Amino acid sequence: MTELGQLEDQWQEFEKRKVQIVAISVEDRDNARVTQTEYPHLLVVYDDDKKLSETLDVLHPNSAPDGGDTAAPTTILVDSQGVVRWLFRPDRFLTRLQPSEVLEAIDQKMPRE
Amino acid sequence: MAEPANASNPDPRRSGRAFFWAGVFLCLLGPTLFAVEFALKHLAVPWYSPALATLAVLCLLAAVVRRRTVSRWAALVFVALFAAIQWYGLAVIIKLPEYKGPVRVGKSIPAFQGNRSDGSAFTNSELKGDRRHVLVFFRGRW
Repeated sequence: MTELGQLEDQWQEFEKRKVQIVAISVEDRDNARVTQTEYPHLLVVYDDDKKLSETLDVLHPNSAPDGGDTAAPTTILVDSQGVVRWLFRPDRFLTRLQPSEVLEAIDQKMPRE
Repeated sequence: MAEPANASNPDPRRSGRAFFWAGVFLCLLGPTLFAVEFALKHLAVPWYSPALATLAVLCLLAAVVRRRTVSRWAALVFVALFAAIQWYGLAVIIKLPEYKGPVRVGKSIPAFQGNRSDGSAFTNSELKGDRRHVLVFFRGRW
């Protein structure tokens, strides 16, 4: 996956900043295992019942290939106290943040405590 | 003496041919550039693709005006549809709703629970500690 692969490639930069990437999707456990193996430095979280995504309101209704709901690509920075520091959602789902943009956001919105 | 076939009396079959091929080229250029961007792992909305397809429509229109053939009309209709579908897709279909949920900057993230790939729970309480977190909600295996 382009997005996760790019984040995985930059794992040392995230580690330097003591930042853990949590990759969340509505895939099932079997797929999540595969994803975790492919991207060992990311923490892969699956949400096959969509409860987490509904709680945080990050679903894009009727946009999955089968007509169901799937994730609206969203990036949320959370500091070590569990406080949200930044939320980014592109206006179109083809757009993704580049890892350099995520790192820049971390340095700007969430400077080290 | 027979006059030579020259520029003063060009072959009518060639009239507008350059416009035709320019149209075909421009139509294919957008998807090709997008494929290159994708291969380079740069994900952005390719607005240039419908714009190039629209230019292609103008070229094919010029080709049809110069010489009306079935193949030119067919190419014009096909490329016009292709351009329209691209504009609609980028402007409407892939648009995401604005975020209006409960996650607010400066506030604690709402309580949630998901699962790690080993089946154990992952909750909001685990975001507190010595590390900071970036939650990335992703879709599709691409």
